[in-house]
Amino acid sequence: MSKRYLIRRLLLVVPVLLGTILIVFALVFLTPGDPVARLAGNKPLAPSTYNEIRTQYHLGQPFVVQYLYYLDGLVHGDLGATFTGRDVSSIISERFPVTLKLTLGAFAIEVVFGLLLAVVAAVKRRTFLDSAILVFTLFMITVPILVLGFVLQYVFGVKLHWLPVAGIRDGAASYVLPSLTLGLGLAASLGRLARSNVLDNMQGEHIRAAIARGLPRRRVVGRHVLKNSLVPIVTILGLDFAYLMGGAVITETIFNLPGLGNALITGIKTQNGPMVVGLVTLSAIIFVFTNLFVDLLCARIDPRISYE
Amino acid sequence: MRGSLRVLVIGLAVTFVAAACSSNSSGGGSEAPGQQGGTYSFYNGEPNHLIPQNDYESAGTQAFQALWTRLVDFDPTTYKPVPAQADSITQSSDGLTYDIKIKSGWTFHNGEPVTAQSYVDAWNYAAYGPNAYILNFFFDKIEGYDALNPSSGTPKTKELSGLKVVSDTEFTVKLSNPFSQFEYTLGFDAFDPLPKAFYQDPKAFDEQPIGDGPYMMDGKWQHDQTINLQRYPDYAGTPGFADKIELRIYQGDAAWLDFQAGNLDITLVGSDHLNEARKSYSDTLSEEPGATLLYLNIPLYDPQYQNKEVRQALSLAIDRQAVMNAILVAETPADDFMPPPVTGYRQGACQYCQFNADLAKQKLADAGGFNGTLTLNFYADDTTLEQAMEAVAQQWHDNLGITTKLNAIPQNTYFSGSGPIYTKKMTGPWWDGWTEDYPSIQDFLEPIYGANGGYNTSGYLNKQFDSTLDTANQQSLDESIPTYQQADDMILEDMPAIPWGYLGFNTVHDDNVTNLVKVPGLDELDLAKVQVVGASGASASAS
Repeated sequence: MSKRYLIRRLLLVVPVLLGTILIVFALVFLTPGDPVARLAGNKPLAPSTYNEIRTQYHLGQPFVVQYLYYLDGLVHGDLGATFTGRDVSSIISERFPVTLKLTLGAFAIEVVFGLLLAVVAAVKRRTFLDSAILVFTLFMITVPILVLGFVLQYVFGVKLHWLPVAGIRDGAASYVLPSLTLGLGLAASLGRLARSNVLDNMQGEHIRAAIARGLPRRRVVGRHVLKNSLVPIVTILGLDFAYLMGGAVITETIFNLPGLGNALITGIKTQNGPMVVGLVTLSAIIFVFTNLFVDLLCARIDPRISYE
Repeated sequence: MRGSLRVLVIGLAVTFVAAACSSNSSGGGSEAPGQQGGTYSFYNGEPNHLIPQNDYESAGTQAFQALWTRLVDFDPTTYKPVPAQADSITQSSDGLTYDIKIKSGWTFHNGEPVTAQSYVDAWNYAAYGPNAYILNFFFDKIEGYDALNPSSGTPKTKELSGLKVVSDTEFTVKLSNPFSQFEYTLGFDAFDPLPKAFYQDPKAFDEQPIGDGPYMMDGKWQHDQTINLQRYPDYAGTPGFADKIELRIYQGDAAWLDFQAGNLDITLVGSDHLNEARKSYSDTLSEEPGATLLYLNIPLYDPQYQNKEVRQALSLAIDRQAVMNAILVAETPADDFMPPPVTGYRQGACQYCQFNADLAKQKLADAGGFNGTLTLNFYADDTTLEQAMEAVAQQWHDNLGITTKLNAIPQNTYFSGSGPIYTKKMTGPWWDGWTEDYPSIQDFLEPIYGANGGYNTSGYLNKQFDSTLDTANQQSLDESIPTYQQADDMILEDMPAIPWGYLGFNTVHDDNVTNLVKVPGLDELDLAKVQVVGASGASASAS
């Protein structure tokens, strides 16, 4: 791991972002429809109002010019404004904490449950417990998030009144069901993957040697097996984290959480170009940096990995 | 107007509805004495803005209903305008000038007096083209509008020449042409007053607006979460009951679940939950016809549809009630070109809206039949609507023997200015809707079927209809209604569109609240009249 490598990776961020913005910009602004005209439903706006708004957003200009205007704003730290006049940056800063909390909740569930399931299943392999975990994880992977979300809402919110079903008025409690909805499926996937990894490693000579040396089993699994299984697990976790931070559209919508995913879907529905471009750009940035972080982390965990 | 927007969301527990008007300033003292106090929550959407002149959707108008007092409210039985913040409105003999006197002693929530100047400044600001306010077009009837909205270049003036301040409590409005319904339009939020604080920082005002209504903002607008309101202690009209109101912002189904879970006091009910509400919440469910006409628009530019008997046959061949019983539960069959809570509506006026398969067949035969395939257009991604449209197409097939085809168009294209509706490229009848801005029969006639109507997308042209509207526009308000009804009779015969139904304004509530009252003529809940049960010893009896 050298400084040069790090700089190269950071420089790579620039073309990735430019490309992402260009593609999203094209998708949003070249699709048919006229979001400005729709600001008053099917009642036509006054021509002066319509033209003024179009001028403000450079909508009459060629696509390339609009793109350059956007980049110019971006360089100056301006993410633009929605067609209803709100700054995209203020929308993001309002919503980012919500998505971050949801991500942390779901991520915690993924890590804790995922690893627990994997280790238990691997250690107790080919027992009833292993089979039970197999069935459970397969089930969790197959159940669509939408269904899981509604079931949790109905059982724990509407019927039992234990937990809130919508909004973020109740602090941490508001995030329990959404985090479970998101996290259980991820935990199940991670559990499947990590189990086979742990099993592979348990076949290793060094493990047999460690057991033969009389080391306690817990220590063998924790120290030797798990540590050697970490690289693929950390890679997957990194991808999942970045994916979660992009905003969980379905979960945020059914639980009425004002996060980034919720904003993205609203932006797409109302063809609010500046909002969609801003959110996708943010998500691309998070993805790029999470990946970089994961690569650095992997090199630390396993010194054999080199990025020269 | 917001028609399309609202039509979009049929099938959700959400109804986007329209228009304007306020509450408890009129008359005064006619209320049964209830107990004040308590807090309740009500479903709302996320408004685009909280500046009345810059917002045109139901989430905003519902908030304005409490935050502002409009110049006029509407009578609960005739739906004619009655003074609210206005003290009197007098029309000159030539019909061109309106003399508006406002009640004295009223204040904005920051203590600033509400004066004639508060109105005139606000109207000028909204009418000024470069400000690009959404409701700019509401001022186009006032003299001097063109000077503020030139076709090119910057306007040379910032003031409407038709507005004159006479005194602190009186101003006059001169129109470019007589318009008998002008008083109705004053019930719309475009004509609300703004305090001086607005002009210093409109953006900050948008986050925490200062109105002159019974409720004021309790902190800033928490975007996508809540708009919190508290009773304005110095309100000069009839004060509201609850101490605080939480307008909770929901998207999609979450509101219904939150209501079921007991976390939301009042919510609106659309087609997807109405059957459930009728079963589980029948004791608090209120169903009233709202201010929206849903209809099938017809491409009169297509020769297939130019014979009125074809259109009459198509209308007669639909059993609306059957489709609504099965699918579009929240709607009631249309029997006129405007919904019931509108001045000038006549029950049962539409003879061709009654299901009659035999007459339909005969009419179509008289017209020489229907050649080719009939394409029924609607917007995509609404399964409830799709089922309803399938049913309609099936009925046309069964009752008239017409080959039909369904065509779902993406929503972004459907309502786009460059889409098939506005460019007149529709391949057959299409699903459409119209939500009023003010409860006058005129608002359902001129914009949709008039030669210069803003939403005349069918291409209907009837000189006699237009001249009748012209006459009515120049009459006094009371004289004008029967004249508009004559115009209505013409389209009831001509059937330039097929009236389908009226979207209901349906609410349910929990035990925490009582006395839910719909604002007369508008699809809004009167927020000030809702009482919280048990609050500071309040009696639970509804007034």
